[in-house]
Amino acid sequence: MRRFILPFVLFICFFIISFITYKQLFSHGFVFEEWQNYGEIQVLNSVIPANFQLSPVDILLGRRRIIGTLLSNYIMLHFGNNAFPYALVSIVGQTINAFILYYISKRIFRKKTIAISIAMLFITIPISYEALAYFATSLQTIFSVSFYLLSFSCLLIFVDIKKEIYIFLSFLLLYISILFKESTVFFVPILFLTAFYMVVPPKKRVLYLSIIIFLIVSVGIIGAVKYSQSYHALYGLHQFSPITTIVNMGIYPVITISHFIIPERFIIKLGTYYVNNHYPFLGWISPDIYHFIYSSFAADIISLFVGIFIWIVVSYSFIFSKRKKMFIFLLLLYFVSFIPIALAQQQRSTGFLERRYYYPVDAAFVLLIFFCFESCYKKLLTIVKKRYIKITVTTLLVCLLLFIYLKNIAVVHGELADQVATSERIRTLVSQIHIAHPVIPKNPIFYIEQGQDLFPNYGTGYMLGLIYAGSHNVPEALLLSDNVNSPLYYAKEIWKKDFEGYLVDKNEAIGFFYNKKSLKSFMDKNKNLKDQLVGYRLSEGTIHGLSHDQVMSVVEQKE
Amino acid sequence: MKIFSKFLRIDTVFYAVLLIIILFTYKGLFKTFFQQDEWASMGIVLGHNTLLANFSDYSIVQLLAGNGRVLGSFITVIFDRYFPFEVAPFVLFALITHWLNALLTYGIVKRITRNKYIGFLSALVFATLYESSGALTWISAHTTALPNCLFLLLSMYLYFKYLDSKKNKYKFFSYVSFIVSLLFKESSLFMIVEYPLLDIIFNSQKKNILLLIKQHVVVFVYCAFMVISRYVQLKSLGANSGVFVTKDSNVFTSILLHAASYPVTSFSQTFIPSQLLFKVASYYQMVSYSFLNTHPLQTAIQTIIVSDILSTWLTLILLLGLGILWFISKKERKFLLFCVLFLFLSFLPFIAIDKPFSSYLDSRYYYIASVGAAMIVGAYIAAVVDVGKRYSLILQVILASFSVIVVLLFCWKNTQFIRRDITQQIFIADDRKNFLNQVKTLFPEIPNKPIFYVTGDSPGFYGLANLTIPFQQGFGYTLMVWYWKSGKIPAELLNNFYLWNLYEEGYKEENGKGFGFFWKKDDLIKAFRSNPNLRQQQVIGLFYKGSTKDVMNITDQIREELQ
Repeated sequence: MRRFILPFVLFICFFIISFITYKQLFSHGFVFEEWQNYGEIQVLNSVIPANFQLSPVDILLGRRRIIGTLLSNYIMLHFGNNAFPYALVSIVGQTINAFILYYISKRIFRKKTIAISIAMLFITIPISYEALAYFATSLQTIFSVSFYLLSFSCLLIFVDIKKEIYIFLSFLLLYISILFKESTVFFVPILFLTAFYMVVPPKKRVLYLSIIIFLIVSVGIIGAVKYSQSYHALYGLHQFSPITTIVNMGIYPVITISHFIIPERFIIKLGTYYVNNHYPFLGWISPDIYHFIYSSFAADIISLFVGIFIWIVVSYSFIFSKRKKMFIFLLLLYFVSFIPIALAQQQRSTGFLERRYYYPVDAAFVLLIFFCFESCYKKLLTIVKKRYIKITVTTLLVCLLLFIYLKNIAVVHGELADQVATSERIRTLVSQIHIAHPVIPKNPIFYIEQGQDLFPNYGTGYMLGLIYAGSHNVPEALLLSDNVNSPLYYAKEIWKKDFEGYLVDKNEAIGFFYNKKSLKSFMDKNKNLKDQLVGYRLSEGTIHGLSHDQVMSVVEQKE
Repeated sequence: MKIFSKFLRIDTVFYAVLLIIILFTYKGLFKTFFQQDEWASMGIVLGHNTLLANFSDYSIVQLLAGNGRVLGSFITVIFDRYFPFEVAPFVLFALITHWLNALLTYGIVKRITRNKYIGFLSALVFATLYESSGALTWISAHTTALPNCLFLLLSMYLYFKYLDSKKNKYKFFSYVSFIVSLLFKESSLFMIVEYPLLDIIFNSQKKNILLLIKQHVVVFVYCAFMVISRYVQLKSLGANSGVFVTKDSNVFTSILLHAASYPVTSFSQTFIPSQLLFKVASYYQMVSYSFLNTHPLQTAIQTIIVSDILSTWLTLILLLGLGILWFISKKERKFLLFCVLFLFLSFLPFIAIDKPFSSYLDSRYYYIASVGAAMIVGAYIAAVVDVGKRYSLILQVILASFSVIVVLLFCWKNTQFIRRDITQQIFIADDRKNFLNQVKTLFPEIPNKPIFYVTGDSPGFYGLANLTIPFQQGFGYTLMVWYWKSGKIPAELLNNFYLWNLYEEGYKEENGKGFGFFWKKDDLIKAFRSNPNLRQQQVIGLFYKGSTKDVMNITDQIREELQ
């Protein structure tokens, strides 16, 4: 019984820290793709999306993130657009991952204090906050990493006690992880190489390795490219280019290490300062791209400079380290963690990657950094002879760690505050729209004077369709993900913010107008559609309903 | 026979080979001509008519503190005074100095590695490196950057002698040589850090910081004297100082940023010709920052910011490679560390300068850095040989041969780039010489108080649409220098740099003499209207026909229009 007390206490502690860090998630609502999922599930009334017609091979290959998506949809089916369960799942998932990482760290470092520190850093690291806050994929991302970490811990057990069952378990867990989300696929070569290293006797390693290298070289770049392309096709990546992927693989791990340590806002602030001082002429040469220069070039330069410094520290730690094999393993793990990102995010619009993509790399990063930290610390203790200096140094380091945790939590709060405000705005609008017109006619034609820019990510017409998805009066073709050929398919015109018009597909239709003249001109030609009109009035940011007569008076008003 | 065999020892062969390679690479320089600042130096020398022409603005204390680059300026004055409009003395001086610099690089690397061949390869890299070739291809830098580097290397070489023999006379001459180098140009100021570094890295005796400062107190005191003097001079110049140093209002912030970024970006740039880097940068931009692909400023951003990022990447890669060598080669660690630090530190004297519209500093600023680059190549080969030696003789031979081939190819490619640049310069020089000779042929004598009106039909030179003649400085000043012998040019105008700026025009009289230059006809007519003392006979009209490169006499036509 006593054996379980400490883990239980730790789990509770990690949960509390996760809760403190991410408590704002409970105020967070749907912002982006969650609305699409919501619309589709409301129409289908099923956890299986419309584009889920998969063959058994597809299912086995983890296409469409089968487990993750089904679980996520199950929550959505039962809770609608209530984001509370997602917030809870994110926080519990984060706790579970921190807890598994604690065990991994304990196995690697053989010290509970370091393991706890690592788990806490993992929880509070601000860069990947989006993995938890982006509810459209949060469950997939978080539990994919959970199974990857479980796979990792099985691998470590296998390395320690050399029982083959653990390597089998490791592969199995990793497979489940990929069924949640493909972003942990990078662990496959690591698992394979470690298994090879452990299972093949030393004398035969050279022979087998030669055969493998020969095979790899024979297949060569073409094979690699083909693999990448199949990965591309399999997981629906866009804009794939092998050269870009290779360049990305060189750039991302080196630059990104500074993003883990320095908050994005601070990097941009430094970058702005750097650009203003270093390239002052760019301000007047090209004001239109100054923003891009700040957020991409300047951020990259600062990240690179900081990155160089960090990598020099890492190199020095490597020299001091007495466990070089483990060091190389963690270094390799960190680098290969970027393979899925290099494939998925071919182009960056700023100097930073999509925040949620960092999540699978977090574990490798914290382990690597603490490994460096431990090596340097041990070296420092061998140099410093006096006891009081040792105590002072240790105290300072503990204080530094605490400061980092607190700062990280503050950064996460800052980042989430923006998103919460956005989602709050969306939520308010949605409820105002519902209150204004709880019921809408079949094939509605919405009208909101100057209401084209109400929602941050989608055009108002499409959002209105999503909001009323449950009424079944909105065209299904608009809400389902497999209607690519339909003129109502969501990724077409209606998604755009400046869209207004009337779209028809077979017996279904939807219209949206934000311009009085456009509506009038449309209705003049289609007088028989007047019963489909649903009007709203936007007054000081609040939406009120317009009665049918009021809308008709707008339509019939003489110029 | 004994003397003959001594003469033919391998060192002598190396010296000869280096000389031949330098002559082969830079021989085209003899066919070049004055570019820009050379005209200003020449004008000052002619205007003052004394060997102390460049020093009248400075006090003795300022001159001793290196203001006015006293020694370099003095050599320039001698050349300009005794060989006017001749580039040959400058070029000869530059090539000899460059050769001596290569020999000193050879000597230093040989001293550190105890290997003549590695020393030779380093010297070869130094002699042929493209990125620093601006110090040789720009005549104005010949008498400053090159001897500055010569005495810097000499001071290092002598300090190594001191470390080997512990004889104080070497140390003394090393310091003297260092101070002399500063009197040529302030680029060697970073030796203030290098001296203690040499002690820390190569002196086996125990050392602490206070002892090191005490040991090099002469260097510290002189450098402090120099920096304070320069600061006072810049303060006194006020707004004009912006011509030489960073124009940013927050100078210290800029200097700090430059101190962090210049060494990092310039480290790799020293090895890589700018054309090549810009090409790769354009590709890198298209892959990593594709949102700029259609932007009109795409090229400018590629050559400035993207090249900066790429250079930093390349520095990181180079450091990684050198770090791996450092890790596996125990014997050459000191050398690797020294030359990497040397290369980084060599950029510190330039942190007060803003870069032009490019990621690269001006080419001549890489001259001292090229010694560091050459030493890095030497250290790389030495380390590779050392690593190979540990395993087998065959591996050692393979690694050494491979490295040598790579280095030779690198040198050959750099030589090609340099020769290509010089060929371009020769074309430009021919145009300028041709222009000036035609002017002299058309007007061997000029009237009193001459007023030149020069125009043309060229679409523009050096990217400037309004520039119709192939000169990159005020052509009025150039004409004053060119016609100085006529005795009709006012010396005061030359000394005050009248008409020096590119589009400057006007007319001025001093002490009964006068000179005018116009490139806009309207301005010439206005000048005649506003000054009734001007006569049509003073005017000389020239027209440059860009397609045939002919200068035509349009004097009569202009004089008629002025009536």
